[in-house]
Amino acid sequence: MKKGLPIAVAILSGLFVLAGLIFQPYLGPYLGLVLNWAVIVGSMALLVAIASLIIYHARSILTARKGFIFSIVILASFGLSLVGGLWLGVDNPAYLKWVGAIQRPLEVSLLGLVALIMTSAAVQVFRNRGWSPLTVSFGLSAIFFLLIALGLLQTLEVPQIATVIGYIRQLPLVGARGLLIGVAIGAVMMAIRVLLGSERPYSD
Amino acid sequence: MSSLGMADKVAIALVLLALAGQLFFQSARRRAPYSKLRKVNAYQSADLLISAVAEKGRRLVLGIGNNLTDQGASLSGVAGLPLLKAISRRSLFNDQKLQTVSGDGVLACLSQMVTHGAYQNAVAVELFQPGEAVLAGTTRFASLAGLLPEVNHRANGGVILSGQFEGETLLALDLAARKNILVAGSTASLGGQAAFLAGVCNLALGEDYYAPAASLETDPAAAASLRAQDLLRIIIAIALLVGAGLTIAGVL
Repeated sequence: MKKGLPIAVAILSGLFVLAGLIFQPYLGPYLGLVLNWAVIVGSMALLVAIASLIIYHARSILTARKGFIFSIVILASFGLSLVGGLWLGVDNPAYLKWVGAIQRPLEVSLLGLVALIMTSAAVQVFRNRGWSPLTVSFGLSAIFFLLIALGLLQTLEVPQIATVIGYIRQLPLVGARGLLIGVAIGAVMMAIRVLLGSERPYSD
Repeated sequence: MSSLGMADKVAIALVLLALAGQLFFQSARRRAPYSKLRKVNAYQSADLLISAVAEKGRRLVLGIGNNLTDQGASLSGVAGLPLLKAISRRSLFNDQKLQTVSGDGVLACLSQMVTHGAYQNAVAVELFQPGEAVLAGTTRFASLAGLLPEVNHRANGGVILSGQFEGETLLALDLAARKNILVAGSTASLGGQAAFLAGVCNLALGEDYYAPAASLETDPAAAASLRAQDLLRIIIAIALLVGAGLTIAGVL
């Protein structure tokens, strides 16, 4: 019973959502209701996860674990955001400005760091992976698309070159579609396993 | 039903084909589900990594992604959990416990349930600590910020990333490379795959992302899925080629 109930709920929910997508005119309103339940359960799970995170960091501070200073920073910033949100409201412009003024520069600086490391990793890819068709095509396409993005070839204003560039610009989309088709096949197979009850990501 | 378009009908046909393939391979290969099964390099590397880390008494970090319920929820967000199940079973009594990091509340809860279940199955539930599966942050960058110290931990011997990751994960991969920590990874997102390719990483691309349980031989149904999806891939490739040919010929 303890193991059977979650499986039954998962299978029934999955089948209902699937039926709702196919018979949308009939089941559409109920589909919205079930998805709202999922949102509520997801929000509860987030609360549980945050509580678990707070307990983890509180334990780090209490036991003076190495790096507990960072736990103090995390709990203090979490507490400040929580109190600010509860007091002023999460839609308050002053509160949003205050949170954004801290969060945005941090995220942008991380992105800047990613750009630098990506450049270095692109160079190192040959050293790490050796010379292979994959790395050679990676290097050639990186150089070629850098050239196109600079606009040097477009300044020549030759219609044939513009046509060729147009075709080549489609290539990444084609590759991405190929990968996404593969991902979609994998997702379909996993969904079928969940609906059959043989895949249970929600249990041991 | 009458409102179904051509694309919907093709999608339904593919799903039915996938279901038929799953049931066929599950029943036909019941006795030897993993016999002559294609192996995914990234998960083979992960397998070796798990053993090597355990032998050296080092710690293994498993990142299971940062997107399940937000930014376009999809099933690909939970694909890291079968890997967590497989590793948990094998590493329960290691010197250093497996550290699981997730960037989504639901994923964090599920990872705790899976880890707890692994201890329960081993009749050692008293050894479970909630800190073994933690929420690193609730946004992409916050979860990255939570993942970085885990990768940087001095006891680390390996890092496995399996879930939804984006390009910024390259920071964690770079950190692991500078500390000579081995990394294996799989992700469904295109940005994440680019980062994994550029970083030092054994990478699973496309549909292979969903095959950890089949490659690690922990789930016969997953093995049947891998065979069925390979068959489906061939059918779709042929259909695309035929469709392109017919379009060029002016038939379609």
